[in-house]
Amino acid sequence: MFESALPALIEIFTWPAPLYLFLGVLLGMAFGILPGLGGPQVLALLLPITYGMDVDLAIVLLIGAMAAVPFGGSIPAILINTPGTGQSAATCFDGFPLAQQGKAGMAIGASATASCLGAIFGAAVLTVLLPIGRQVVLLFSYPEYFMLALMGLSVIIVVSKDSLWKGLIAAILGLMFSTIGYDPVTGSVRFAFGSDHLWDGIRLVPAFIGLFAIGEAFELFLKKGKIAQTEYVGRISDITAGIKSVFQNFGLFFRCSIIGTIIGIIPGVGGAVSNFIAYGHALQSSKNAENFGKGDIRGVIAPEAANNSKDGGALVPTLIFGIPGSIEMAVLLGALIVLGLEPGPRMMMERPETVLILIYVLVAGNILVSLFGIFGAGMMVKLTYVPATLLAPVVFMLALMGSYLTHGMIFDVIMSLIFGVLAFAMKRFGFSRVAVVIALVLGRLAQKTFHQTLMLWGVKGFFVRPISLGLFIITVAMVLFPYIQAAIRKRMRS
Amino acid sequence: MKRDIMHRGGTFAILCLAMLLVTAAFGAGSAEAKFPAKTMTFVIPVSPGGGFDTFARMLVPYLQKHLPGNPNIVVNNAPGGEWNIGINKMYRSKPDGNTFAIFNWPANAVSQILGTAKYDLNKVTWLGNISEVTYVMCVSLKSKYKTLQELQKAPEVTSGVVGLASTAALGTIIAAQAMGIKMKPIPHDGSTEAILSAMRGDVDWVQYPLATLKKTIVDSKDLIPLWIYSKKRSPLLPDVPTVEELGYGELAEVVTMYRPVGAPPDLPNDVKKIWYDAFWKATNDPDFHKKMIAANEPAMPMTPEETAKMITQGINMVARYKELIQKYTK
Repeated sequence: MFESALPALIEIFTWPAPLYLFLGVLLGMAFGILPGLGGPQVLALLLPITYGMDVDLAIVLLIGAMAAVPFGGSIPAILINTPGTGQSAATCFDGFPLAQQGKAGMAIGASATASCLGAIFGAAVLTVLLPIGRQVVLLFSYPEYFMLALMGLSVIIVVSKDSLWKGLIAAILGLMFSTIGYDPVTGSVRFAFGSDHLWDGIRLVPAFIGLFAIGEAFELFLKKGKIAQTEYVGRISDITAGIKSVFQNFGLFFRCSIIGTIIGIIPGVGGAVSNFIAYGHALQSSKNAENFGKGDIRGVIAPEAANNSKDGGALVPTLIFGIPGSIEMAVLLGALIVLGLEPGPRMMMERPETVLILIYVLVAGNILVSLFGIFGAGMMVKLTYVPATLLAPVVFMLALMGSYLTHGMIFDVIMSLIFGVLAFAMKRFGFSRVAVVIALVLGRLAQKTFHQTLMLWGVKGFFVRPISLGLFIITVAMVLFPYIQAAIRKRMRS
Repeated sequence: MKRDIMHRGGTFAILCLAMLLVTAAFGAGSAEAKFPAKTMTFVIPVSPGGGFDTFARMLVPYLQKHLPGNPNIVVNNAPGGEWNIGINKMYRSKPDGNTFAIFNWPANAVSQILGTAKYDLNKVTWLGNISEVTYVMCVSLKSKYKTLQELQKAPEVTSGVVGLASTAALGTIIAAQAMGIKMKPIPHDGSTEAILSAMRGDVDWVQYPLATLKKTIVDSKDLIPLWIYSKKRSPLLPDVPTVEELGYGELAEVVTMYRPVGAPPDLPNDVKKIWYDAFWKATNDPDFHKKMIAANEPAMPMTPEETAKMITQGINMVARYKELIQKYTK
């Protein structure tokens, strides 16, 4: 495979491939930015126009678009507290407070850099892993999924340090939401209130849009003023500081890239989870976590590194088995099949060049979108200085449109409004929206994998498998660590 | 060079994209009652990705080609509620022929039989069928049971299915009953996860379309195919017996999936005539057939009458298994 490394590289620099890459990235970025639209939609939209196209060019276009989505989604997350895609939800937690402090440029700089390097990391792992990826993919089963979900849920304890009770109340609310829809064991529908729309549970995108964007729009209406609480000075140095911050926290970036890649590799866990787990890791691993949620740049770097590195990871099962690691990958797989390719064991053997082009484009697309981000940041930052009376209606409209766009259903819009009101109330009374989101996302994964494990192996299933047991021990250790640390300190003092 | 020609076409296509974007993004609600309208809606009741989405989108250019006036066809993914949301959306749209949907057959009969559907599939205006999907039964390399006899003697066989109330499990449940296998279904979110489970050896049995499983059983032999739900052997798996050879011929009918397309009830007769003609031509287009074969799923066009007959038979068949389905969904 490695002997085709150079020809593949030449291929993507041969005109008109760069044009396709440019167009793909631009489109992917636009879809990322618009709430409600994301990777699956842009790929599905590009699908018909790739019919009859040269295979390599089609890949450049599709992967270019896919690569640009995660960073695109982070831009509105930072600027207006509205994640453009579910994968960028965790970027809101610290990205938006930074924008409020007039440091949106820094956040975008950090996000662009972490995204780009994260993607490169993911692609590098993908390249190295392709020969042995099989084993890695097959290592993870339901008990491991469950332990990953548990690990993510344990983050709630850390984010709710202001009031553990309020944090737990919020978490339980989120877990209750996650029980709506099909029961994973009996297959009967729970708490759907007679609506078909709730059979599959609460859709994440409308819920996120409600919790963040609409909640924020309400807040803006009431508060007046503008998002950034400082005067506009238009400094470029902020952006540079953002870029630098990634290198200053390189260890964190590196660990979060690993987290993202691993979660990407595991089919069925998905992008919506990777950014939360990385965020949680940043929180739990930092010595001074009190600034998280109030505008800590590390809270931007962590999820951004993870949500971009996961694409490289998600390509591992897609390319090795032809089994998609995420919804984007499922659409991509469909597109490749229509182009006459068959991702899976045969493509790896017969068309190594195509596989490499795919990986290179993933990297190139990410570099390009990050450059767009860095050079466009100065302009984007101005958005946070627009008076709230002008901005709030726009945010409101974009949010409602976004929740309508994903599936074209008015029900999703109503859902967003309900979550918007909820978010507003929660903010007023000091409940953590982050805890609701984490519980909602991970609750469903935890339920399903918990039952699958019990059905196949019983309780011992969780503890007899090395990875599962290891994850469990790490989770317990992370939860207990602050208490043990405090106890030791106390003892030392006395 | 081939690339240059492709390139010109491609660039033009990209330019069209902006237009498409706008129409797709803003719903393109056309108020005209005429048929075919400038913009028509093809409802796909599942998320993007996967067979239904792929093959429906593959058909779109050919429908555009053969419908008078070459209308713009917007694909609308309306997933959720075990296909009910998308089907309802189509069923309740104006019966002007401008909205139509793809179905999962006989799976979509289950909601109607269990009484959770708000539509009557007998009344849908059936336009025709895209393809027929053959299922293969596979066991894990790590399974203790590797023949039909061993499976029948086993105290419990686990099977990776997609959602119990879902209808994807229908074939497995019916086959296990007919063959006398004590099967325990383990629910998964998607076929891909279930297939991976079998590859890991966590579940014994999976059965999915041959096109889906081809890379796992033909190209890489990660799973062992035991039988195929068909009347004749597949050229891809010449050594794998059919259910008929094993003495369960009736399962070949029951465990086969179709992808029919339907429009709302009571279409005007002139609209019906145009549709029937265009749909038949589109599904018989040699170019379309070539693409379907390349995707490992040969097209299987049906006339509207044949499709309607298949629907009636499917509903009756699922009705016979009502109690069995209820047992697994309670």
